[in-house]
Amino acid sequence: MKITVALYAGLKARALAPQGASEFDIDVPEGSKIGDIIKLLDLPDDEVANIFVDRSIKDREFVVKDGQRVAFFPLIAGG
Amino acid sequence: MKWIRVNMSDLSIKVEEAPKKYEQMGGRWLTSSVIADEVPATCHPLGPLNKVVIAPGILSGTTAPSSGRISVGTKSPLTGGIKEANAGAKFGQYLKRMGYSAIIIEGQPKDKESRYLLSINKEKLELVDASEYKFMGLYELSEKLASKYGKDVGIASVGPAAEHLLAGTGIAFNDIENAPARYAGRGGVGAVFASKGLKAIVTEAVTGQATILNHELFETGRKKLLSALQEHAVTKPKGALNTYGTAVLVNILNEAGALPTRNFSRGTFEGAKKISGEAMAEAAAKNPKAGMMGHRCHPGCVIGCSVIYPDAQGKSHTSVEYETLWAIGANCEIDDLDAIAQMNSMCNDIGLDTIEFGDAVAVAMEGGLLPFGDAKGAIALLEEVKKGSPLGKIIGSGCGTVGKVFGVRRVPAVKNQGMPAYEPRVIKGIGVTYITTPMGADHTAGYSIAPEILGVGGKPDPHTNEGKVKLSKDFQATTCFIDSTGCCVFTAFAILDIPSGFEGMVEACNAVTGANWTTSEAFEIGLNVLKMEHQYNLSAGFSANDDRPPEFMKLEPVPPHNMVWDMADSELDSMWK
Repeated sequence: MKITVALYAGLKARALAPQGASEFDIDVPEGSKIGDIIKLLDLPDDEVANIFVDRSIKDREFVVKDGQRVAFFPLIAGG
Repeated sequence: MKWIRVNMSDLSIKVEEAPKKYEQMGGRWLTSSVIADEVPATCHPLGPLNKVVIAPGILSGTTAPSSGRISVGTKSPLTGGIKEANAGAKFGQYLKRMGYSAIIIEGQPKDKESRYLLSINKEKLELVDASEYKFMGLYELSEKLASKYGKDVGIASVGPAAEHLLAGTGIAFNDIENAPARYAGRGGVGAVFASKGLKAIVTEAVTGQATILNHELFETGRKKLLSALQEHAVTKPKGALNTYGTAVLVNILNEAGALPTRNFSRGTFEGAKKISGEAMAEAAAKNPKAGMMGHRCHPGCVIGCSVIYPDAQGKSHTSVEYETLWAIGANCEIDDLDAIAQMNSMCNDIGLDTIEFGDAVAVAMEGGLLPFGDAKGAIALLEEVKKGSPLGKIIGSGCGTVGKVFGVRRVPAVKNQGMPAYEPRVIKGIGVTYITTPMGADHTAGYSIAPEILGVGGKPDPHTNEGKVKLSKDFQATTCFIDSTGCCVFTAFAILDIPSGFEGMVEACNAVTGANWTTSEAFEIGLNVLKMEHQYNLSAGFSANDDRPPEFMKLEPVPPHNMVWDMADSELDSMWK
């Protein structure tokens, strides 16, 4: 199945992502959890602090579905 | 404790020993206390009975990290209630090093056309005629004052929009490079300053350190706070704030479906990436001569969240912040970063609060004055504000006024102050803060976004109401204390996760004031400041009915989450019980 991945605040440089892309589609096995996708992308696990799936906060145990959008952020803040 | 009292009715200046009750106060604690004690709650905000109190924080002027905030307090012409707005600037550090804990400006000159400048240095305090600077833009003014008084002086000034007495105006403090870019922006504090006939205050540059009573304790506290700031992923060198500025938030709020867009009618913005911190960092890397990430608003800041954005023509814009990018960007559906940066600089120049301006333009767009996405039209409106034309005065008076004039029902304001960059129907805790803070809709008053969206200091579900009144109240009380210390509110990100940082902040305050506060007592101090401000508003005529969201937020579900504001009024009222 295909999902859309978005990487922010420096994570794109830390992942197995198409060159220069901060947002791209990838194929993942059915039943993949967010934690599996972090490994698949070779993201530094301890730096991924906030994960959103289709605009809602999720954790590493969440099982993604076909066509979903998954966004990864390190620990950030502002205001 | 000494303060400077300036009476603009008879042009007298006095240095007074402050009554003992104020001895340990600073920043917001001091400004709100003086306003509560000296300004009749029912007075006209632009009349002679209102006052402007400018007070550096308890730690300002010391080597405590990121402690150069200065508070401005008054009765707000925007909300009609008490107001504190603060900025990070060298101005307050100089003041404190000269031994002054506040400037109180009162009265009003008989001649409304007169303009004065207050000059403060170690030997002399004087009011001088400033009619040559009348309606002058603040970039030109800053240059003129730096050449006349010295390049490192501290300057507080108001632009032409404030001289038109508009409720959406702030007070500019000059930054390290003398740009008038550090704003005590919200609630019309600029208009009150201008109503006193003041155009600017200039302070002599003073090095050294403000008075510290216990140096050993100060060093212990300073090091603990510094260590927390240097360790935390958000505030450390090369951390998120330092690398991307505050606008690192654009994408995360967009991914959360909580980036208010098209005058609070949606929670996602197609053009978000184009106006993000990442986009600014890319531009700054391409043009390091004109751009800079990790810029500092005042000497001694160790976070460095400010940004100098270089536009396509190579012009520098200081400082383009998240709230501005959202207000003029997503909220107006403008995705042209250069145009937003240009408007940011124009707002700095004429003295306008960028949040209130963005909210006002978005409501005007909703009312049909100009189309959403029309950057050129928005720039033209800023020119009108500068001129003081009738249309400009309407825009400069804030989104509430614009809504009334153009018959728009969707006005995102509480107590007539425009909402900042977080959708309260989706993030309930920040909604409670917007609705209940005595300041009118203000995110900095109780920044529950930290745990609700960013996972800093906890991780409560943003979509639920449960526990959010307590969350907001705890943040509001703690913020009242931090705003009194002179420390930047962003220090909260580190001390929420690293408690020794807060201990250090309180110990450093004890070392300066001679107090012996625990962290719990510091929280209680903050809570009492909050209650005092609330009580002032009640005396000014506010009631529980003013602690309510705009009606449209209860009636209109906001996509993509399709949520409404659904917290019971009685729950909101429990804030003050």
